[in-house]
Amino acid sequence: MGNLFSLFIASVLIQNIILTQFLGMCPFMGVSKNSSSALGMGGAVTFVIVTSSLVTYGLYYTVLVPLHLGYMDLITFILVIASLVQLTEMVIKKVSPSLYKSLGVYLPLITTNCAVLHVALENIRQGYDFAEMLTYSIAVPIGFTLVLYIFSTIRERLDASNTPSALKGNPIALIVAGIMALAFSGLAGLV
Amino acid sequence: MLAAALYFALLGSIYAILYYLNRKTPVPQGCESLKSQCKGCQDYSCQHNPALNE
Repeated sequence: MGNLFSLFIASVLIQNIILTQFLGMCPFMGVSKNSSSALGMGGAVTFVIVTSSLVTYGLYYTVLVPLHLGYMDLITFILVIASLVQLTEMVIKKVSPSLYKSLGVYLPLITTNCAVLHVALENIRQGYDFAEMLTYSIAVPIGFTLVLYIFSTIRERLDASNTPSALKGNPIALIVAGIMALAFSGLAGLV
Repeated sequence: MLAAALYFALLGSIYAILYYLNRKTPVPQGCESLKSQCKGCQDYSCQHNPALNE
């Protein structure tokens, strides 16, 4: 149990997918202009990461390994993620038009979010058992959503602040991201 | 080899079916022109980025 808790804390904070591994930078910059969109994107990415991890982990150990098709893991994971994103988009279109509008063109881009593929591959590469896989697959998107939300609230305040014109927009956002990465690196050694 | 081909065909078919169903699902009101409204971000590899059309 302590091992799972350490894995959870490490995945959320210490080895945060965005700020220490620099994965998922596209939605981090693109959907962080307001906090409600950031939370919506975090929810969609969480759903896709958790479900794709469950499906890919199951497929790997019940189909690929027994059939000696382990070399097809990458193509399998990409197709599973792409299929789940289509499913997510379809559900959001029907259930929450406002979320669909706020996520805009970034919703189909979850397919190309390397954080999703990273989690699916890491579950296999690290040899996680089911409990560890589930913990890791939940912790990573929580860390993703946490950082995306914090960053979006900072960007909302930056929009209202008197930023020098040369730094307005993406330059100041990247500086803030750098400072956040420094702050998160200070958590190394926590567990 | 046959198992790999069948497996790939199955996964591809599932994706194609979901893609088709998603395309058939009507877009909510007010969201019809989201892609054409995209002004582009720093991701120049994205197919929606208007910089690709210039």
